[in-house]
Amino acid sequence: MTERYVELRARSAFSFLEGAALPEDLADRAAALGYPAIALGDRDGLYGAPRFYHAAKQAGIKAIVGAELTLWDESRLYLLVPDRERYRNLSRLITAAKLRPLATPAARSKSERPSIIGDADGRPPVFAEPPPKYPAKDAARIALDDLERYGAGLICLAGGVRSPLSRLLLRGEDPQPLLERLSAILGRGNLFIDLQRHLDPDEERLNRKLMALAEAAHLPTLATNDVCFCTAGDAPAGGLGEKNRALLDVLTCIRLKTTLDGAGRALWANAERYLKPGAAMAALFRDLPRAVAASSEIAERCGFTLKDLGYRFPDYPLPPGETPDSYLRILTYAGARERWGPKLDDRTRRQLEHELEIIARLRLAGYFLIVWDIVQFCREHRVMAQGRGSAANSAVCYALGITAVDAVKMELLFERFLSEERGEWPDIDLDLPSGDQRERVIQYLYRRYGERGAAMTANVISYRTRSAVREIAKVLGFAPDQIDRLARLARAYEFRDDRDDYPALLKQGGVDASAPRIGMLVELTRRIQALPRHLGQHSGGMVIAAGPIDEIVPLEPATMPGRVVIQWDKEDCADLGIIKVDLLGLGMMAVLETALPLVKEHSGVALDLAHLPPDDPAVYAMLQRADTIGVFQVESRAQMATLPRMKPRRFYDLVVEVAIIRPGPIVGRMVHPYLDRRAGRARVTYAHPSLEPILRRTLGVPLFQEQLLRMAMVVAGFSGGEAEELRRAMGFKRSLERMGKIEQRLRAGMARNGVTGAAADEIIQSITSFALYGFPESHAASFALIAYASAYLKCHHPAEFFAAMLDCYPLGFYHPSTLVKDAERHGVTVLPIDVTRSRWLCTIEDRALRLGLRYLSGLREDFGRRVERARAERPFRSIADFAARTGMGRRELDALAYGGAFSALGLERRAALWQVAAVERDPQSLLAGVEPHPDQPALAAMTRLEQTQADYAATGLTTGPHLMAHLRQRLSKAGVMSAAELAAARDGQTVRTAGVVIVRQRPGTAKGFFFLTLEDETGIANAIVTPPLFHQHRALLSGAAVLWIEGVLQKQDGVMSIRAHRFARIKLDRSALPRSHDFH
Amino acid sequence: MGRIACILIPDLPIAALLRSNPELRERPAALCAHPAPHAELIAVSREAAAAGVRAGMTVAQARAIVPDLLIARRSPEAERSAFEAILDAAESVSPLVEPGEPDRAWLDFEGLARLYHHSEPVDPDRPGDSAHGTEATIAAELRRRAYRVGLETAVGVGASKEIAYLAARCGGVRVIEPGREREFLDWIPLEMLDLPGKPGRDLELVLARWGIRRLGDLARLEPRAAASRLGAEGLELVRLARGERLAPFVPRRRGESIVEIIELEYGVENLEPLAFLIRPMLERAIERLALRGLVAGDIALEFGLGNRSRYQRRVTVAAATNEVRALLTLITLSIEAAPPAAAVEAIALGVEARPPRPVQTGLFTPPTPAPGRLETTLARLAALCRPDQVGMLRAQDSWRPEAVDLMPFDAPPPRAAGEPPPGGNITRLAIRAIRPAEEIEVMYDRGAPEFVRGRSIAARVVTLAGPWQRDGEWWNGAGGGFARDYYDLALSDGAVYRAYRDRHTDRWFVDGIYD
Repeated sequence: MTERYVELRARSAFSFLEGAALPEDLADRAAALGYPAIALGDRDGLYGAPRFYHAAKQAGIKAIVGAELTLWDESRLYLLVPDRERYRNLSRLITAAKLRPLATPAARSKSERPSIIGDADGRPPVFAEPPPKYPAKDAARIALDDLERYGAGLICLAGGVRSPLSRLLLRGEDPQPLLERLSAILGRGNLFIDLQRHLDPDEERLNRKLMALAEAAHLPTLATNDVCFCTAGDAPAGGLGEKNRALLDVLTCIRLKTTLDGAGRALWANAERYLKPGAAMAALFRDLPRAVAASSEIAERCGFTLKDLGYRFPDYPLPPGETPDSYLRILTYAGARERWGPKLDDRTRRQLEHELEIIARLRLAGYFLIVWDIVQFCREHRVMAQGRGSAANSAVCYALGITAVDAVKMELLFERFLSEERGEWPDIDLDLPSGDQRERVIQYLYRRYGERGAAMTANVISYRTRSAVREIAKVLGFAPDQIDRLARLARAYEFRDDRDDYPALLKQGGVDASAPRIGMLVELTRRIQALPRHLGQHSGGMVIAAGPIDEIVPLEPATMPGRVVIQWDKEDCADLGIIKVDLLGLGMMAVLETALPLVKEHSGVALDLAHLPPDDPAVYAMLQRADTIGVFQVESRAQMATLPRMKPRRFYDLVVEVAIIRPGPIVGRMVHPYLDRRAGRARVTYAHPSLEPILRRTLGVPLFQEQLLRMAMVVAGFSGGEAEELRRAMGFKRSLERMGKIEQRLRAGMARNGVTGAAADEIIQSITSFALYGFPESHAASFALIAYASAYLKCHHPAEFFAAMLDCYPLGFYHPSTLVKDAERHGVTVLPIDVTRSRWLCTIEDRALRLGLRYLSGLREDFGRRVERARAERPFRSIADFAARTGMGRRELDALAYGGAFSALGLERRAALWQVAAVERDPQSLLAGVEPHPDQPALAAMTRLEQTQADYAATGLTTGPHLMAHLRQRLSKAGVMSAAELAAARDGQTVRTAGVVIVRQRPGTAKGFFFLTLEDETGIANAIVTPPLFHQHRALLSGAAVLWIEGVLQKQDGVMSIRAHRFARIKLDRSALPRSHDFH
Repeated sequence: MGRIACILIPDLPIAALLRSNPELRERPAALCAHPAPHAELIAVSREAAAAGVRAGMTVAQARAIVPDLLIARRSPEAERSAFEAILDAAESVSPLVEPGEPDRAWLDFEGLARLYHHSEPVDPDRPGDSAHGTEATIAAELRRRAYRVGLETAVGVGASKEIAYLAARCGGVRVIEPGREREFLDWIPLEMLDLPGKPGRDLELVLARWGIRRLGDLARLEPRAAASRLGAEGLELVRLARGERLAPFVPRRRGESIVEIIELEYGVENLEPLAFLIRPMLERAIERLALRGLVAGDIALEFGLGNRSRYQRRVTVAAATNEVRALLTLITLSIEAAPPAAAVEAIALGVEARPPRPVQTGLFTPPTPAPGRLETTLARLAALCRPDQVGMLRAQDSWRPEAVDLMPFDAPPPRAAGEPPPGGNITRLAIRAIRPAEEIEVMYDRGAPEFVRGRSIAARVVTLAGPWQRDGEWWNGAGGGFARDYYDLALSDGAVYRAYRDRHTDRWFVDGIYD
């Protein structure tokens, strides 16, 4: 009897806040209990199905696909999939409810309304018409019509307390008409009444009614357990009761927005909803053996698994007489002649032929054509696009214009991109300018492949410590101020040691971690962290299919209008062989795209990114000085600390620079050996002579993933595919076992080639150091191109570069206030916001940079555009005239006056504030535009310090003196040096400095050291704090906005930092200070 | 302009704590809402503040600084009582007192100088002490009297309530001499005004942007220009800054109550003659109330006794009424519950005035039970049991069957004619709950209960249903949660019981009988 029971009704944590088990855990537990199969039916979706399928496959059991759908009357119907056709119908059924347009799209608020007009350059609109609006998350409901359309043949379990039949029975109404309707829709033999026994008398009463109903209607009954978690859990002694149940109760409370004390009977009455052994279920239903046996019969009928999805990549429309391969060849050679000139050399031709041959063998030409098509669209619509990732290893991609890295010239490894052995789809990521431009490309794909033919991939959002603490503390009944405090204490930097665990942080924060409820909070926070919280949208992953995607996976609306997402994330897609194209928004691409027209307009230079003057000495001199604030990829504190040692002199040095400051080389201790060899302080050696051709370019130190793969191929005889498998094993954190096996194979291979002993150990060490994040050379080369372009602009066209940076913010490492000061240090005059001159975005005026109105906090874009339009008609005469013609309210006018934007009207800030306060704010009023009574202002003009503070408060930055400049006299008297003065101090000298904290960082690779960057009017200074001192002064170091530090100056190879040992907060009005960029 | 004094209790919560517990005066102490380790401190004593403890710290943090820090729970009752004491102190100095916020009161000081003689030497160097030495002396006396009732206060004297309050905010005794008000106001920082709510915060932001930090800056604004820019609130502020705002002084009577007092020429020892004496007093009080359209609320009784002691009783009247009979019954029941220790020689009867409650709330709803009868019945029950054991039971939303709350009795709303009874015509199984559940001993046969024995039960199990599992409240810590297996047991005595086994303790209880 035991083995005859199969659990057909289970929900996982992908029922979002209704289940407490991960799909993998359910599958593993089912296998451990000896089930031959198990079904998963999450609420309104197939979110957990891929993970469930893979885990079940691994555990050797069958994963039956199902879903619990919320109906029009809030009841639930549980459906199981017998075959592929019914799977498609279930997926479309869910999609139908999720993507049912709401009746009133016009009701949408202004802020949500996307742009449907083209931009000023005449590019087409992002949307041809306003996109429809769909039900909110959790608000989609299945209608009876949907069921009639797609429900035939699905297996339905109509019992349980939430089913529509049970609800009618409990209300004393007649369920017969609905039952007949469902029977007719689903078809004969597909409707079952499932009975559950959770030792609850109310449920047993319902079971009797359901049994009577089933008997009267000649419907079979079925035993299920409505599983919500895996095991009954641990003993209740710890105060958390049965822990799995405790977690489920907490999730229920989060869902219902209540506390445990207030939830009452909304929680389940007991902890019986766990995956029970078959024998236990058989014992529970010993009076109904047929109901138990029916479960395995249904499981046998459900033959469908996700292996059988039937996904197909779309075909590219070809010109007559062409095959995908022939057409790709034509396009490749056409592009190649553009790239390399009309005469291709032999090496290039050989490489292209080699690649085209492999592409043809793998039947991937269609995929390349589709990516080429996207790039073509970008080119035609002047959207900057550049391929990155392993695609940059391909000469074909370079020829097609997909990537900008010459793979032939750089001798990149094509097998890293495509390998016959792996049999995987290649991964082509396209970097696009973030914002509207990227959206334009995404919408193009929707239009090209149809609304149901393309969709974004999802991103499963899990709980982080802080969000978990916040929600659980609320559920446990902590007061709001306590919740804030507990959540604040959960703030941790990237680096974590014992003292950074949440209980330890609580203790440091003065919270008694042994108090029972705090103990529960800690335990539940730990347990909830693996669980998914909700579904987000992946930043750029798009899937496209030959047919409707909703037959493969249910679709649902994204929060962003006009976007549709699938219910699976990109790993799920990759595992199931669904092709995605990553359209990633890159802020720096947007900067370049914004800056180039500015350069052309104001400097008369037409720059083309593909043809920038190569190896420009001024650019490299700037890089060597680490003068890289704002420069893509090399602006971080760590990069700046490396550049003066690295001294880049040519493009390849920049490729190395981009790749070297990564956790892989840092943890693998590759950085110093490389820099020492480069500086001539150490000899270039190779672990084995055979590695010399591979490692020559990086002076014998492996820095790139490609090198790692080639090393494995050369010294251990790995094939390209095996090497790629090695890379994946090492990128996969949990697979220690897999890594161990691969290490054995490596050693065996090396032994065969005569590489043993210390050399073998060194090679193994080199390879395993990439276990976390090795950086591919092709990727580094793509990034280095953008880094060089941004450095070139900063060096030669700083006004345009910083204007574009400020327009594209947020991006990069530094706050706009730092960018402005850096621009000034590069000779750019930055002009303040001025209502008579400023546009919405920043502009260039006679080589000076004029701040745009967007930098005024709280000013909406439509107001900014109104200012532009009104000013184009005629200049503003006064504040009253300005207010009347722009329709701005008191808040906006106040902010403009406070930020000094009316100074061109001859008004000092306080005089402007005085006038603003008197003007008629209602544009409909008869008094609109009428000059107010000319009262003499009784307000004193702002001091210079007040002006600076007002600048920070109104715009987050200042174009006037830096805040620290006001304090300089007093600081100098106290022996505090400016950042510029530090440069003149000697190594080992004890120094004092002070500044606004602009960056705080505690990297995971720095063994607990804490890094601070301080800014003053002369530049920036870096400080390092040892772990014990950091713990001692944690609150001060993590919180102070302006800091005084004392420490020992360290100077090496032109890199300067202070090993700080004393700190003090300099108290200033916090509201008027820029926020630091803290890495947590 | 008159002369007004303001008496202020700085940091009322702490002051109230120290007043109730004078022995804590020298000890560092702090208050919080709940004395748990993670609770944040609401207020700290001077001693604790001197040691570095601040409001907003957690208890654990504060104890890390001051290990023997005394943590107490904030007590609204103690604060109310402190405020009453301040009013007493104020009324002992001036007959005209206006109660303000819970931490302050105003006194009319005009002409008080004539009532008080110089009892202290005048210090001409002390501000406000030369010309208005008497006011300073009276203010100091006021502080002394407040100290006698256990409170440290600050007293300010000035030409208006606002100036007096701001003077008191400066601490100690501060007298603002006539004619020097602007000088004083000019110096006052804006944050001392505690502008309330969001409008207050918005106004503060505007003024900060204008560079206005003190009332003197504000006073320089022309009121009409300020009014057109800052609105009514701003204008009020400017007027205050210019010393032009004069909130009216409205002395108020403390509490609306009617008091009747008689003194007897002989002592009364028995309840019946006492009630006979109280009745006409009550009738007079009711009559006075009725003339003002009010009804009687709580009644305060005070007897002067033959043994020179005093007897005080407060009779709570939940439903205000003017029915003398009902009220007299409540009074007699109250006295009966705690009779005086000696013969009564004087009677004072204070009746609180309340607005009348409608007997019928709507034209088509029937009247509620007569308030008098209801109150009398409840009062009788309260006299029999304890007042905290009389009320209505309401089932909690919980899986634990015995989880109930005791609510104050409130007659259920009357059903309109023709409205069906709640629950419709469904026949429900009724269970009589046994409170508290009775522990029983259960004997098993092959794992199933076979025989049950308890204080009132001893029978064989004929048939059973169960187990039905109920568990929960795990978050209430060890021992706080419950985990039970319920059974319905049909016993050989003919009754069907509901019994359960506590899974934590493995003990059995019977908690209900099915009817």
